[in-house]
Amino acid sequence: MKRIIISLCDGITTFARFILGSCIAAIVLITLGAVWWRYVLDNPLSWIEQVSNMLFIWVVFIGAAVLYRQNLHIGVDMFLDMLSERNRAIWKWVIEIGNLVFIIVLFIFSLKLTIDVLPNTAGALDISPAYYYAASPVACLMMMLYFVEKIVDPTKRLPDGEAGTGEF
Amino acid sequence: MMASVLIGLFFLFIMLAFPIAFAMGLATVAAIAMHDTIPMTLLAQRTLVGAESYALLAIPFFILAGNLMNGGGLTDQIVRLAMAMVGRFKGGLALTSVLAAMIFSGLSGSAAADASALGKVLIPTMKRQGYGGGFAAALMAAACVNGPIIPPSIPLVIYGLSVGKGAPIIDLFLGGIVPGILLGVALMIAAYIISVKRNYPTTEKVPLREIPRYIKNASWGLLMPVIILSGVVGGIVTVTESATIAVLYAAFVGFFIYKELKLSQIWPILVQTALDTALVMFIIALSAGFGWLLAVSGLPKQLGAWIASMSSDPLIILMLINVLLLVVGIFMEPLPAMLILIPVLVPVVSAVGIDLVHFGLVMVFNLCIGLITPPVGILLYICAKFANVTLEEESRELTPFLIASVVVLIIITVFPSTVLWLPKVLLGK
Repeated sequence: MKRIIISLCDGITTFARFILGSCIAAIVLITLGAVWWRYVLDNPLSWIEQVSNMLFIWVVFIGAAVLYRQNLHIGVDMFLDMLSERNRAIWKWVIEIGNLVFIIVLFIFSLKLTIDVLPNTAGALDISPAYYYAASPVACLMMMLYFVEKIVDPTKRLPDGEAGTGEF
Repeated sequence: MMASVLIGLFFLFIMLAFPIAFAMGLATVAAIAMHDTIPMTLLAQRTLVGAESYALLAIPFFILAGNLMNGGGLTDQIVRLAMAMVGRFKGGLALTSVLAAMIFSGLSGSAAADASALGKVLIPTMKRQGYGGGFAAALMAAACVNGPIIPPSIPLVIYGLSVGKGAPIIDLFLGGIVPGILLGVALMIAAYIISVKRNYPTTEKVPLREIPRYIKNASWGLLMPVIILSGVVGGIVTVTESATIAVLYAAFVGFFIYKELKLSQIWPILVQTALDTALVMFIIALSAGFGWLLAVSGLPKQLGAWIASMSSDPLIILMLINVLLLVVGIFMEPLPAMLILIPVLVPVVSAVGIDLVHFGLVMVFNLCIGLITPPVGILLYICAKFANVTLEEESRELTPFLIASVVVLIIITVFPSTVLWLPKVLLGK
């Protein structure tokens, strides 16, 4: 069981990282394309903004889920440092459960929102906003799965890798 | 009532070591749950809309350009140039660190990125040359505060977007140049005085006539901020578009000029950029619901009325806000602090006629000083790690640099022209 969960999470994360890298590459390329079409060919493309925004939202939410698996969301650790090792382990679970509560609430209501807007269409491409909004329930599902993985695999409770050296 | 639940719970969760994004989300959920008339779907809707803005795309592009430059071998050239220019003086390596951080700030939009790239190289070198580890770490941390002040700057993009009319991003970018130079000079003066007192060494003296050669070697990096700014100043491209051009330029320099960037590095850099972006943007997305509730609660109006009742003098109001922001900066990262406080403070300052570009720089500068105040200063942690010292050892050496930063903050607060002069001259407003 443990092995199935971990390899499932590994597979999903590999796919998610593929999506993340591709979306960033695509956003860069179409924005460069936009500059070319507007200033060189003098023929601005109307769909660029909508597509970039959509890819961007997917990057943000899928990225947030991958960061959650790697325990890289930033916080202030001062309180954890004050606790004994045993209490720290317990408190980390309190935080994880708090996070899970939020993830579940966001999952339910962003799924509801996605379904609600399914018949609507908007923007230059005349597509449903559900294509954007689905990023949130998908990311929440990933995080719920990663939460289960944290239960079965203690190594998944520690930070893995680096993020944010490019922020602030 | 709603405002106190929101802010109270948010702080409580932060102090109890919850991740910032989740602390914001949980506080929002609790506040909505206590309120009968606000539907929970609002949380989802605001969060998703919060991440949807074409201008926010500048953030991954600046991060990507910085990551490409870093992989492309530019850091060494910048350090060599800085050393050739100021290494000859007492405490040469300390002055080099400050100057290198100023130049590097023109390539990346972020203080943490500067500290990681430069601290890795310069802090161990300073230690080897006999500078104290605490001093090296504290100085490097303070020097990197310049990252979000000298353009490009992610916090200034976010400020510009949150405020909208009255604070164009390009004006903010240009407005950051003079304050950034002032901060660099102030830190160099502080570092020089300490170096003379402690008799820190000079580095090898490079003859002045050779300096142009060093400038030439680093010129590909030095050109980057010029490219980003001149496109927008000239009205050719938007900030988002100029940020993509910066990406293209960084890739070109890395591949063809310094030839240190490998094709195999591109994919990991793209994925890393996505994760760095998500880290910042997830907080921004969740702050949208939080900020909306805060506005509905009426707190901004009350706080505004309270500040306005204290004085109607713009300078006194700015000084009061500065004190508030310095205290907030001790406990909070600049980004969440800005997202919460911009809707509260901007109406107050614009009511008394303070220029919003000026206020933007004061606010960002002030909150970025919080990056080097314990216990939440992220730059302190990054630099202490490279110096292999404790936070206490580092903090003991911090005082002169904190004073220098606050002095510059006071100067840019009292003299708006330090911020507004350059945009006025270049944009002809």
